This record gives sequence, C-alpha cells and structure tokens, in this order.
Amino acid sequence: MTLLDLPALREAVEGVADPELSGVTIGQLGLILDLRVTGSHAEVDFSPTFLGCVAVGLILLDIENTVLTSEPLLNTCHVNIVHNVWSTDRISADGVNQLHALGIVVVRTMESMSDAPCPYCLRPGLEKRGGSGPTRCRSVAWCNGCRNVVEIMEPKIVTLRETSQYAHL
Amino acid sequence: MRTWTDIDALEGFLNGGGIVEAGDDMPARYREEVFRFIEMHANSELFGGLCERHWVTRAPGLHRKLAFLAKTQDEIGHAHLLYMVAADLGIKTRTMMIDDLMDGRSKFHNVFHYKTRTWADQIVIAFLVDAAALTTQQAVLKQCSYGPYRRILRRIVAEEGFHMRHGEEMLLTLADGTRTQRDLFQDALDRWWEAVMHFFGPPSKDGDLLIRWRIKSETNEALRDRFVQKFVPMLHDYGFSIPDPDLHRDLNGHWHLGQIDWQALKATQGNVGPDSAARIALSKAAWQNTAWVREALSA
Repeated sequence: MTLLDLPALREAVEGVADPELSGVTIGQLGLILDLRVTGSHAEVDFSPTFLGCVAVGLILLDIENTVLTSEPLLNTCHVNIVHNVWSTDRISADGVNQLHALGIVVVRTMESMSDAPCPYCLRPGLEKRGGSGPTRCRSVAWCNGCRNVVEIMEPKIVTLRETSQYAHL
Repeated sequence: MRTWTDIDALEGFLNGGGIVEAGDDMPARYREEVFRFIEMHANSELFGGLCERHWVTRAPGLHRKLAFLAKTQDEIGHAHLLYMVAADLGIKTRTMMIDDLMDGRSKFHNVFHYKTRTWADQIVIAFLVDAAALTTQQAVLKQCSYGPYRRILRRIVAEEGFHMRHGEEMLLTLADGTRTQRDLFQDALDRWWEAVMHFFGPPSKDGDLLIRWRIKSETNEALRDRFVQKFVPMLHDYGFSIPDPDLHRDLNGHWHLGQIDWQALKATQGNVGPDSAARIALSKAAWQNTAWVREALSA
C-alpha cells in the first residue's frame, strides 16, 4: 500500500507561483492556511490577500492542478476561500526578501510604517503617493533618497482570525 | 551623482552595462529620449485603462466584469507608477503630461485609436495586444539603461503576463464555443491583425537612439517576428485564420508576413486614426468626471 506524503503535497501547493508577483509563491505569501486529505479527496483552505482579488480564479486552478498531478492517490480537490484572516504577518521571511527584490516593502504593523526602509537604498522615509497601486493589496510610495517608485504591502485589519480555527497560525 | 563630459562618455558607460540613476547628471538628449519613451508608455497604460473601462459593465457575467475592473485598476496603477518616474525627469509635470494627452497633443499606442465593436474585439486586445505589449516590455526590461524605469517594469511585466493568461482564457472560451462565437473572434481578428502588427512600430532605423542608448534592446522587426513565430501557429491551432494572404512558412518552419501597409499607423501617430477623436473625447470626459475622486483623495 502506498501512503500519501502529506508534507510533500503541502510543499507542492505552497510552491504554486503567484500569477502577479514574479518569483513569489503563494506559500511564501502565507495564503495556504490548511490542507487536509480524506480518502482520495483533498481540501485546501486558502486566503486571498484581499476580498475580490481577481488572481484568485487562476490561483485556484493552479492549486487544483498541482494537487491532482502531484499526488496520484487523489481524485478530487476542493479549495475553500477564507476571508478576513490574512495580513502581512503571514508572509514568510523568504517571501519578504523576494518581495523586497521586486521593490515591494512588507509592513507588518501600522506603527512600523514610518520606519519602513526603501527596498532599493534601504533608507527610511518613504512618502505615500495615492491609495492603492496596480493591485489593491499594494499601495504606492516614493523614495526621496534614491528617487525610485516603491510599493508597500500594508497590514490588513483582520477581525476574524482570533476567533477562527486559524488562530494558532 | 555621476556626470559625463559628453554623449560619447555616456555611451561608453552604457555599453559597459552601466545603469543611469535619477540623481545622475545625464546629458539632456538622453534625458529627453528616456522621458519620451516613458511618457508614451504611461499614456498608453492610462488610455488602455480608460478605454477598457467601457467594457466593465458590458463584459458577460460577474466573473468577467470583476476581471475587467481589476485589469482597469492595473492599467491605471501602471500609469501612476510610470508618470511618477517620467515626472521626476523634470521635463514635464504629471499635470502637463495628462493635459497634453487629453487635449490630443501626445502620443499613445496605435491600438487605442480604433473602435472596439464587439466583445471579441476586447478579447483580441486582452490577449494579442497584451501579448504584444509583453513582448516589447520584456525586451526593454532585459537591459534598459534607466534604473528607475527598469525597476517598475519588472513589476509591470509580471502583471501584463497575468493579463495575457486571462486573455487567453477568454479566447479559449470563444474558440471552444458555438459557430457564432468562433465567427465573432475570427471577425475581430480580421479587423485587428494589422493594428497588432503595427503595434511593434515601423522597421527600426539604423542608429535608432533608443537602441543605441539601451532604452530598448531589440529592433521593432525582431520583436514583431518573435510575436509572429509564437502566435501565428497558436491561432492556427485554435482553428483561426490570419488575414494576410502572403503569410507563409519557409522550409525551416519560420513564418514570414506579407508586406505591411503603414498608412493606418501613420494616421494613429498623428492622432487622426479611425476613432482617435472619439477615444480622446471619451477619455477626457472620464478623466473630468472622476476629478472629484482625486480631489477628495488629496484633500
């Protein structure tokens, strides 16, 4: 009898590329909350970065394809979309570095916003320019130090995490 | 801050793979070329967003409407980033650039000078035009000599890739659909193919400054050719025909286009294309109607 390798499956799912952020995976962004297998069925709990993110459709397809192609014992996969539990503190250290390389700063708390270093010259003092940029999970800022355009992933106000099954995450 | 005695010194620096930064004392001609290129890119993103906005309410189904809404935000967001970099070059302010665009004094990409008649027209834009834009932007990103532009391009290119995937998914829906749906796409392709070929621009001239100063890395023909080699077979595979009677494949499997007539492109470059006036008026109205949002945000 072949046993299903759950950690390997989770790793494969976490390795799905974010369709809009080159070189960043959904695992690094902390979007995978849970993965369960019952018999030949897999259940994935997934959180988008914000409500109504349009990349979700493609990400779900990629998750399902990854699950079903990497594990022959599975026949079906369902992805649950969970809202209001994700914030930037879910992004891994690797994810933060990868986003930095793209010119995107991750701010973990509102208080740390003013100290956020420019990803290019590492100096603080980014100046916000406008509400959100190309996507609603990021806002736009200007670095007066090196005169580059920077984007910021800001913490979300999350109200459901504490009372949810993901409180331990 | 770096400074160069003359354009030859700058060229030596650029040929060695040097990257110019915003604070550098760059020669005026280089500054102007970089500015012109980024301004055109910014204008095209803004116009793309403003034109696509028309389809948000017309797209079939909630899923497509949401996707178009987000795509519009992407394009406007890209314009925002690009205008910041362009304005910082100190040649025109952001307001001057937008006024010039809305009053028809600036250039924007040729494909936004035509009317989109059907939903399939919009799919041609979402798939083929975004793919063409991606081809040209990837080539700029590869070795663009102006640092601040290259850095935002890295993010923009990733998002354009996502748009293209979305466009391909919409195309597949029509290609897999009824005879009417397939005919709708073929009709759109027949009307748009020439404009998509024009998108890459006329053959690059020898000594093109954009290439010499490594703002662009490849000639217009090379980029058009790369696109043709990839998308002609793909469209054939989906069962569509390309409206070019002289299109043929040589013994090595390489596709060759027939003669391209550049007249229509010239008209769009002078803002006198088939739908230029209406497009500019529509965008200007959209821009004016949303002035209150910008005012409220900056209050």
